[in-house]
Amino acid sequence: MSTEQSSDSKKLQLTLQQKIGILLSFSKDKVVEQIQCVWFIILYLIVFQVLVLGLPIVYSLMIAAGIMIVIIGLAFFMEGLRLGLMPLGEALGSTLPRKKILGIPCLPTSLAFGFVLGAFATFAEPAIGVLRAAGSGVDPTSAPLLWTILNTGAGLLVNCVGVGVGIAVLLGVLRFYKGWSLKPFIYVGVIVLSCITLYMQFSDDRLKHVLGLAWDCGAVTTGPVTVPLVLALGIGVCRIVSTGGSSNTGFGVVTLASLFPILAVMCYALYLFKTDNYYFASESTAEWHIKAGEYGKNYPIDLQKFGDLNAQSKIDSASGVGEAELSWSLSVEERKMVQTYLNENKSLPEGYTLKTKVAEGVIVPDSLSNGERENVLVQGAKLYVVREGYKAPDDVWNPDADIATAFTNKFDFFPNTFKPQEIDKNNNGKADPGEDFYSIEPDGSINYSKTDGILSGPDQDRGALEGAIWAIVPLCSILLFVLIIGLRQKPKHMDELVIGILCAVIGMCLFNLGIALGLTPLGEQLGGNVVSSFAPIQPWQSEGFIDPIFQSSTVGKCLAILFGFILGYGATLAEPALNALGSTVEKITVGAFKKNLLMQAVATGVALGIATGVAKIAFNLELWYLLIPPYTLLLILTFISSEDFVNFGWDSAGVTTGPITVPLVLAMGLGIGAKTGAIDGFGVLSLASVGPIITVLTVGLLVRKKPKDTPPVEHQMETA
Amino acid sequence: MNKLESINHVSLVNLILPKDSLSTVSSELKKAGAKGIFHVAARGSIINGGSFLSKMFPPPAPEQSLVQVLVPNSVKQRISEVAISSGRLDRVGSGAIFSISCDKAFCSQNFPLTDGVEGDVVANDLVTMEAICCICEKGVAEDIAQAALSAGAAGPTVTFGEGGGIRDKIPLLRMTKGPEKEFVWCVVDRSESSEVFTSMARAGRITEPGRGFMYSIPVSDGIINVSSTVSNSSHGASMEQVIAALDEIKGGKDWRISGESKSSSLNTTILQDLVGLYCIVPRDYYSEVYDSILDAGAPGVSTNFGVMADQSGSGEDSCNEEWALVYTSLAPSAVENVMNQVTAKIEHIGLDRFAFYTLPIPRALTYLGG
Repeated sequence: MSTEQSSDSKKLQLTLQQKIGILLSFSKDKVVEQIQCVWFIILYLIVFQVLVLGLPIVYSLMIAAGIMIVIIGLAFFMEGLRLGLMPLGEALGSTLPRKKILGIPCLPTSLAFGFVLGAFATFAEPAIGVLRAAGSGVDPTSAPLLWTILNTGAGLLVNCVGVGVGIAVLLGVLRFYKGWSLKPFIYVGVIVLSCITLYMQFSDDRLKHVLGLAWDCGAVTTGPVTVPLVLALGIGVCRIVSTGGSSNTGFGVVTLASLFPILAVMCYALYLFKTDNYYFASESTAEWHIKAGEYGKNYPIDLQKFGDLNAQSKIDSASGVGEAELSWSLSVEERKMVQTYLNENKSLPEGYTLKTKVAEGVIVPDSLSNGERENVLVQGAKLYVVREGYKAPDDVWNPDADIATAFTNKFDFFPNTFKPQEIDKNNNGKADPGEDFYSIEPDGSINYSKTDGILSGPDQDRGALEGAIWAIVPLCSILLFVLIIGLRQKPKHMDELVIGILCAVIGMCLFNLGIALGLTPLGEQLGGNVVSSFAPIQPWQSEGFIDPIFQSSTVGKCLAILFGFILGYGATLAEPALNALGSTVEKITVGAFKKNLLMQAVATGVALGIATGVAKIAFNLELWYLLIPPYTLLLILTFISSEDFVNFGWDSAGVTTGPITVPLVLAMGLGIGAKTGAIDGFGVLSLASVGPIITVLTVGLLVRKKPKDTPPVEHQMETA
Repeated sequence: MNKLESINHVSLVNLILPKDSLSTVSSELKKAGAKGIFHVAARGSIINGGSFLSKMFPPPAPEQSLVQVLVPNSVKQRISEVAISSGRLDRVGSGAIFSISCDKAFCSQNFPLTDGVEGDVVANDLVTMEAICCICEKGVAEDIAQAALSAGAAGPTVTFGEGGGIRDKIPLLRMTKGPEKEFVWCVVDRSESSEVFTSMARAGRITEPGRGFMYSIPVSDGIINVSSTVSNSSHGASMEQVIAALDEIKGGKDWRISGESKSSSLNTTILQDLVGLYCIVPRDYYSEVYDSILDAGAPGVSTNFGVMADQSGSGEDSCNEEWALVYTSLAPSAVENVMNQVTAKIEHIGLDRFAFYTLPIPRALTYLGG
């Protein structure tokens, strides 16, 4: 090629038009790429609600805007991963085994760093908030241990899970150094967890209820920031350390990071149980409460009061107007309106009709002339004016939605933490009388000193901006600090790294905002409304009732299960962490394993898992016998599979159930659970984690064809 | 230049092996005295059935390794035999070995170079095969490999690497495109080479701007036994066995050429008689070498990252030592200049383990400007 290149100028100057051209075409490509991932699930949700359930989409404009923001946020986030987070992780991973920090040998520093990374990542990502939302309906009188862990013991829960994940990453890094296979870890982990599960299931009812939380914890901990970082770190380390014999390529840490939190939560629950440090359900009349006798002696008095308040408010709301009465009744303003209209026009207004309650009457037969047939009269039956059908709100934008609050909650980075100090007004370290959560006024009413009497329910999460900053910036600062100052290795393109991290923060912020505006209302709507397939419900945010689609509740529940199946498939394809895993697998195997192979297999597996989860809630099945058999099957599959598929498959369990799947699935779980009397919405997420492992390992066994052993062919070396 | 020794009569021995046999073969080569065994992860190609199930769950391609060793001609025969016997390369579907004789080679003092008896063993001048290499964007390699397969080449091998050129000089917007590239290698008979070359070029649209760069190198000898299909366990013989049997029955390979060959001329200028300059450096210093090659005036640079199998790294336990193979193609007159600049930069850094070699490139193809 010609040597007369214009290489005199070190930097090439482009005109503004050229720059805009490059930026535009680049952005268009990225956004289109994300739309390709997301379109299926959005279209499916809208079509299902409108065509199958026959209900309109409430707040449609807000949801549409939210989805646009999600797509743009995803595009930014994936770019941030590509430019900043993953190169940073890989640079760190490939330098740690080679250079010493402060003269300490490489192995201990790598292990220590792994622990710090794992622990910190857990504190950074809002996984626990998800679980608290799932457990928002937990009644403290029926499951006191579970309620304690989720509400007053939530801070310590996060710490336990953090330590668990830290140990998992440490073991993962050790495994790379020593060249061990992943299989022994899986065998030991699954067997230990199964034994503890069986123990907790059959020893005490209170322990039994914690199982769903424990298994779901493992599923949600590794999020869209942790997974790429941990993967990149593993890949970097394996590039250097994985010599000849071992076939480790960098996968396997996410697996451990999904198994250890389960163990951590179980240990925490057992510890609380054994030391009697949980809520004593004083209002409970349940059988286990009567059998259990005395417990909760070591639970602090203030927190006991808090629990009592909670239980009382739940009992009060339960004895309120039931749904059946709601469908037959009108509010006072409505009645006045109907009365006025009737007086003026002598007929009922639009949307109101007469309904008869025959059950309250007496049948009086009046036989006709030939005596074989009768006129059947009813005496004393009651006639009511009821609202016909249902009235959905016309708003296209939720009037209560406050974008400013969704965007930022004024940099309060720990809104979820239960802060008993809030009631200590004179700062003497204990709750004096009058400094309590509530006080009884002279007129007999109750004065709540904490947040208007809203003592339970899903907390306000961090704002979108705070969530993004908290999830990414501390982790990246630690990584950069260790890399530049500890290992004295300057990364090649520092500007790319910084821009990458910035993109990731912006992306995550927009992503969180879009989910709050778009996906969460959509998921709540659908989750609530899908129950209409088998039970009469009041549609989301609407007034009035609709009848179930199918008369037979079993058929209706099957429709709900089918809904869950396709929901799982579509939502998984949109997950950013899975996309990152698929690209990484393709990169590591030099394109031998295409990204599509992993994504399709995982999506199918999650679909199966979520369908099973919906079945669990709909038919009120116990979790343990939906979990233990699949895990046993998995042990067998793991034994006969090849090492690389075992690595990919078990890692794919950790990346599913991310920020897109969870809001959709949670709302559905809570909605169905409320109708079928389930105690909590847990279990779906853990089942959604088991499914993909089974499918990926099965696909691995099917596509793997051993090369045939051929006899030598008489072949001359083609020389002259 | 006093640190660089010029070595004459050196060949580059290339091996394409399945990933599993890499460690056996490289330890055998090490025992036979080879040094500087550089291996790069690669994948083979399979003929895609195209059914719906195989689109949804695409079957994995065979994982391979591309191994390169600089070998003096005097010991080339012995090293090749060791490689063939330890990798069982005489079996159908097991891999490939081919050697390319280098025009020039320069090694620094501490570069691991295979020992050889210094003698005037002139390489064979008769060239019967050609290695075609196509550097393209990620994702395009699949189409190019399929085109090569249909044109009759044995299974192309694809490696990943990085590359760049003029785009790296753009200050900030260079981030909009990643440097990842795919390299498609295949070795074909001389008689088929122009057909394969043009069909690969057509499939990859190499003549359009920003699509990549293609070149071919003469190969002096080799055995090509890579597999290009994954056989169904119900079939009695693999595709390669069938083809080999047909070769025997028909008495040659002429039957392989399909009836009417498409016109094998592309309406474009083919660059002729370039020189490929290859530089092997440890991976940590790759970016300096990359920058200095671009500064010296080369239009484009591409790199393959790999590991020296016989060197253990600077870590405490056995580590992989990562190296980079940096490549650029230049006009013959420019080679000296570029090499001098790069050497000066390397001496400035203080590196004492690196090597250069040059290979003749009779034919190359890329976008040549409007």
